[in-house]
Amino acid sequence: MFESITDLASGLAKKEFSSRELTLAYLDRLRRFGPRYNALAHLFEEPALRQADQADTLFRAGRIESPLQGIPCGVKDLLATKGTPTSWGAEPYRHQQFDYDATLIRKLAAARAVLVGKLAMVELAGAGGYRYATASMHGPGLNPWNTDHWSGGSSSGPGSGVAAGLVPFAIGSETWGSITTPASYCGITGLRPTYGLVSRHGAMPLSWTMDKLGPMCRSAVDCALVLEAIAGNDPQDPSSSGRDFHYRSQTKPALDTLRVGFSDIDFRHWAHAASRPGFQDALDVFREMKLKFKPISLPQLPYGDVAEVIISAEGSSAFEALIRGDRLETLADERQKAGLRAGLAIPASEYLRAMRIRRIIQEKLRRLFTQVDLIVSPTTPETASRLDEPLDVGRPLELPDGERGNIDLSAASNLAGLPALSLPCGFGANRLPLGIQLVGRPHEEHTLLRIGEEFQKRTDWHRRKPPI
Amino acid sequence: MAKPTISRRTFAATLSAAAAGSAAAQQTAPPTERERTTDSELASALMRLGRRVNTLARFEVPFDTEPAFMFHP
Repeated sequence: MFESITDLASGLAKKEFSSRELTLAYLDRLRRFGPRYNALAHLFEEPALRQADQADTLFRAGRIESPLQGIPCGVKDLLATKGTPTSWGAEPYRHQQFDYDATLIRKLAAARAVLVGKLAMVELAGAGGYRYATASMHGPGLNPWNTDHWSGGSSSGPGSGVAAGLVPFAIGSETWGSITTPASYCGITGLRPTYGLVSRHGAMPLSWTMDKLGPMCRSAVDCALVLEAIAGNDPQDPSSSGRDFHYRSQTKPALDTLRVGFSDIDFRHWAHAASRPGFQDALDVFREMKLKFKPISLPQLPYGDVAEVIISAEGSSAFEALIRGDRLETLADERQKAGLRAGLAIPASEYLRAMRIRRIIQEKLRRLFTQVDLIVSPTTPETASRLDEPLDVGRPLELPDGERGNIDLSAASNLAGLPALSLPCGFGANRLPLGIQLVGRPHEEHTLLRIGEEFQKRTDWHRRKPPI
Repeated sequence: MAKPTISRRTFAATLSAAAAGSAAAQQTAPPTERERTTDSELASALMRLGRRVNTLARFEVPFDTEPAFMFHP
């Protein structure tokens, strides 16, 4: 149940097992273990078996239309699926149903993947900010490596589901850290694509100018295969860039030509002491790959302030009817409710100021990426937090001379719409997984994935299994 | 050049109005524990956003900088 997509596809092609058998096995696993991690939102038993049977018919006819054919998968419960609940992780939307499928759901079906279930998430993907891991109608996402710790959010179910072998791959969403953080905490590989590469039609809106959908998988190669299937133009999504993604057929850059920006601040000061050895080992692997390292730091700009103002203003606008209605109180997290209410108070002038500073950030990052091809930094500086830990209280940092290195990379790169790949790279405090992230230029996912693929040929962190 | 002091004042006024309009403030009876929690959380959230907004107000934005709306990076 922990095999890669490539291995499962090979077994299906060789008729070692059928898609129906594989689907039944994953349905059983989701049913038995999904609730253990609060990972499961909705199980798709009959529709999944129908899709599996269709895939098996193709296999029997000798037709393989996609590397995902017959492979079970899960999606975060914010993607519309016709005639079944799409609850957005939030009590007010528990019984919500749409009469259409999200574009991404249609693309997975076109690739002959088998949708076995929708996976749990933080309510409204944390639109108003949240204080505790319990901010979900499904309960807190539990980390398969240690259930006293959080799976990360807001794509909590995709993170724990893939890590626990409940699905071979899943789709998550990210506005600011919601794919990369659970990928890091759960020890899986997560790819946040360039803004506009994957259609969001039918996905819950949180921030129209920052939301992205992307794969959460066991390996970088798996992420590439899934991204090939879900990327592409969509006239129904105004943010669609019109670009496709091809990995297998695309010429990859030679690794020894790539310049990697990094900062000692991130690895020696920001990273938790127990995480530093793991990150240093990962950097050594990158050096063995002959990547050229270059010290670099993000320009000092108010990334977090800009991101929070934009997300608050857009999120509260998206959920204005909920905020002004009588169902807001049924949300789980007090800070989330208050954050949503407060977001409505942001004046247009302040939102526009944030969006204008964002333009400056995008331009500064564009220039920074003329000096390097990518930047590497810890995905998160420490391992998964305890379930009872408040998430809105940061660890005090002692940074030399106020230097921040690239510790704002997540906010900065989300504001600029840049792609990021989080790779498992060892274990830190409490024997929990660590993740290291690569951030690249727009539409250069293939560069990040090529490095990830090589990194995972030289390490086995992505093959480790939690004790289930 | 924008005038950040005006927008800060606007934000502060909105903050006061929101706080005054809260459930507890509208009632003559003493607020319940839940209402007190709600008001306290709202005040915290508004203050937090206010700090963010004030930080951005100190940042000089060139006159010809357009907002980053639906962009294709």
